Amino acid sequence: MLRNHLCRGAFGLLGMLAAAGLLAQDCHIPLRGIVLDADTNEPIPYASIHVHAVDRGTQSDESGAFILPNLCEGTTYIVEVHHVGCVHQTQVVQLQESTLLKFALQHNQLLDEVLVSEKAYTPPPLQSEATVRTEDLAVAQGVNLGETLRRLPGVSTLNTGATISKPVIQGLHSNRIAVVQNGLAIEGQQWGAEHAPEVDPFTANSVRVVKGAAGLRYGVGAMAGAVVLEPAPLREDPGTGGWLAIGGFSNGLGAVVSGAVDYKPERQPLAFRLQGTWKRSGNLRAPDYWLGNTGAGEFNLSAMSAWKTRRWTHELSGSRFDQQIGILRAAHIGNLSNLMAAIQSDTPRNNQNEFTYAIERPYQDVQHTLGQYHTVFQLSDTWKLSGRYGLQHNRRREFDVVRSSSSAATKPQLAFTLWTNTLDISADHRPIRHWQGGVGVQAMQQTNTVGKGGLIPDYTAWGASAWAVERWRRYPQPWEVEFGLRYDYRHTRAITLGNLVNLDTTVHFGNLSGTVGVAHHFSPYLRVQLHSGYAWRPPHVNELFARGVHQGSATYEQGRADLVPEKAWNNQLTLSYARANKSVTLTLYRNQVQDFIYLDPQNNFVLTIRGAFPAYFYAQADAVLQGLDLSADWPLFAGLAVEARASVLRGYRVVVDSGETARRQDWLPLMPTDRFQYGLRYTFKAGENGHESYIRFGATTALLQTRIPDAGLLKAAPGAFTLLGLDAAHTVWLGKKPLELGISIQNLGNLRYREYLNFFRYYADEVGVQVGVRAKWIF
Amino acid sequence: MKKYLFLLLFALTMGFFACKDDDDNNGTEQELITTVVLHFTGPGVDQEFEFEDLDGAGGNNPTTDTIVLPPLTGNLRCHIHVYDRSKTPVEDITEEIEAEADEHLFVFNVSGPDMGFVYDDADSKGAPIGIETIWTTDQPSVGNLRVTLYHEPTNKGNLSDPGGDVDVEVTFPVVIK
Repeated sequence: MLRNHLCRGAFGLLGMLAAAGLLAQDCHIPLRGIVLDADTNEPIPYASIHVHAVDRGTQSDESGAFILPNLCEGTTYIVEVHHVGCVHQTQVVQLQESTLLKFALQHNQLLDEVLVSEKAYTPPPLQSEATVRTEDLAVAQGVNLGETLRRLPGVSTLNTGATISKPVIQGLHSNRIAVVQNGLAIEGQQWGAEHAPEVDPFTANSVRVVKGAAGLRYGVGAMAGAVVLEPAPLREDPGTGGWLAIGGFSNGLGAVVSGAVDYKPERQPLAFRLQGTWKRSGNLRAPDYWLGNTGAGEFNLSAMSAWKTRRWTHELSGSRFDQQIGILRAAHIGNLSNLMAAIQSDTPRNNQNEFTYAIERPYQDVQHTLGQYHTVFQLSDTWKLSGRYGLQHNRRREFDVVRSSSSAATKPQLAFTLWTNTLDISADHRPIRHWQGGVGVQAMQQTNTVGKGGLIPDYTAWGASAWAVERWRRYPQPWEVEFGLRYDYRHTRAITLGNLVNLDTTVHFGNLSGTVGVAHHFSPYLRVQLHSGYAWRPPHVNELFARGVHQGSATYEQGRADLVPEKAWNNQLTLSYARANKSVTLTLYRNQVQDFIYLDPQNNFVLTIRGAFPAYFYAQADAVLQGLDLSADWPLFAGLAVEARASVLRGYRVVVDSGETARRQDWLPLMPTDRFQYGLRYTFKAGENGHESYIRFGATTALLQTRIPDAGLLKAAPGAFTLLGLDAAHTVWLGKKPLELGISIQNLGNLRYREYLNFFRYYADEVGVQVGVRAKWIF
Repeated sequence: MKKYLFLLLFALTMGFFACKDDDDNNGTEQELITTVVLHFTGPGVDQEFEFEDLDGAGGNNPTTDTIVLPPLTGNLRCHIHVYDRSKTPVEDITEEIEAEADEHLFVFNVSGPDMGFVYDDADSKGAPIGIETIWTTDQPSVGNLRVTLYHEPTNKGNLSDPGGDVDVEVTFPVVIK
């Protein structure tokens, strides 16, 4: 950190582009920035920053950051930055409140140049968030989205075997969270617990999770949070660039290749990107046996283009996700006695105990195609208008085990096709008298076509929303405040013809969402924030009208047409400290869900030709989910640091037993177990443009889930376990191009264990030791 | 040159997204079994007993005939028919079972009535299938007969747990009088 910068040259900085503010001049805005070493990208602490006009100055802190409050907006200032032993240099800055200056100082005396960039400064939201670290993203990108997220505190995954993984945010998942890719919420068959999100993590440069009621920003799909994936920005300077990543996995003999090429022509305001990922793996292996039919294949493509003029930005992008996933053969069961036999067996039944790449029935075949047009028009220095139109096509086909001589043997047994059109229009403004925010409207149309025999009816949904959000911060006052309000309306017409009961019903729901947040900055490093969000979601078509046997769990599920919307009131208190490479974040939350929709086990069986199945009807009750998420990174000495994550959650619902009036609490099913991740990390060589060489040894301890509902339990929750893992990365330089190499080992001890949140825990162990190697060449 | 190559690739990729898959969800087909018929024939007996659930799981309850047989019958032949009567024309699944005889096994569990059976058919490996069985009844009695059809059994030798998936599991009340 405190490297001696032997700079001899003069370091300066450069000014901004924004024109002078047209509004009344405001003299309470700060000059904000960060001073970095241009070669190593390391922060430069104790650099002096001085503004002559007001004769005031400050110093950059240990993280290179500085704030000089109480300057006037739109005014031209002469700012001087210098560091020990360096000649002063003056530069002109025209100040805007929402601007963060980045001074990249060259200390090489031969290359006496200064790199300065400016970016719009969006203050971090007052809602609790967690971002996947670059190195964790590199480790897990080749696996799937669920794996990418599970190292974050408060995030777990709901798995169907080793191949299907859905993110769970603070205990809630599926229809209650949104997955947002490049500004557009992915619309798939989220209602199904065995339907994984259709996203290629390689398209993202940053992945973060917004926890708690995020309906205000991301719509009714984000009642309990959102996973937000953002691509890397397109090239700013002419030329060609890109990256190529390859990975190999020992377990399942998997391979993944992904690459992107960026191109920007000379003298034209255009930029392009092409990106693609190919993935293939075979049967995975648990410590004692192969997991028959767990192979998977994926082929994804995406393209982006942008056209920027002084006031207009147009972006056109498209992506296609195509995946085939084998489903553990042993998990295919015919009826309840089959399920009981599977539960009693220690080893998977009907298992194909050998390695193969072949994907047999049962398997899933999923395609997601997305196209969007996004435009931004800079109305003035303060206001901008944005429009976004998205068209999505999601196709899911499920192939079950059938008699090969039957006419069904060439066909899928279930098929869903979902078309979604969305249109967003918003107006956002930079700070006006310290208020920053925007207003917007959204419209949505969706058609879901379900093949004959599907569990849910066909439907067409229409939606409209309007929202406004504003936030206040006035330097140097330590307070920050945010308010937001949104109204959503949903209209759904469900139609079924065929072998289900004929149905033609229209339902509609409308409700308000809101958010209030307050933050107090004790110092530039320590802040506390309190956020309260109210969000809702309409009951989904499957909850209203589902009817049929859910094969995986051998249960008969039936919807209820009179369900009312679910409303969540989420309160969270976050304390965060971040200074240099020390950071601690603690979030306490309580999510009160009114009319929580869940599957309620009935005391009767539904008789079918395959025997009797226990009946589960959708029902509603008030529920509470509360817990804490903790994340800490603390350097010890000489490159050694400790890392710790903890996720603790309690979820219960309020029950009134039939014939009684007293209320009692019953635990909610499928709540994540308490989980602790902790490890030691040794950094050999600090980052050169972020390319660190490190080795990390970590462990994950998951406790036994003892808080499970009394009824409907088929198998005791699996016991506690501690998994060991190791990962390391190193960058070699091929000329000026970096080649990042990495290795990661999961389940180092080849431990036999089962996860509570894996539906296939009834049938088989989790995968054993997995060694992944990867290389990424950036050009 | 490079520029045009890139633009061409870009255009091709965009075109690729525009290509639509065939959206025909009516191409799905589920293997529904609606009906199981036990056809008993022998000295003085020629009777069919049916278990039927035309609308699949849920909805209307299935209907089950009571198997009524005389006592001390001597050898009765039982032939099983399995149908999907939700389709037009009705699909005879028995034919598919016969075509894949080594991947199917009917298992009969008698609890209560005084009756017994032997398998009277075999697949290519000499293991039973159970489409054809020979039954005898003894004294008047009542109880149940459970018929289970296993698909892809892993061990046909173990009738109490042959493995595989259960395609049919129906229970008939039985009266011998």
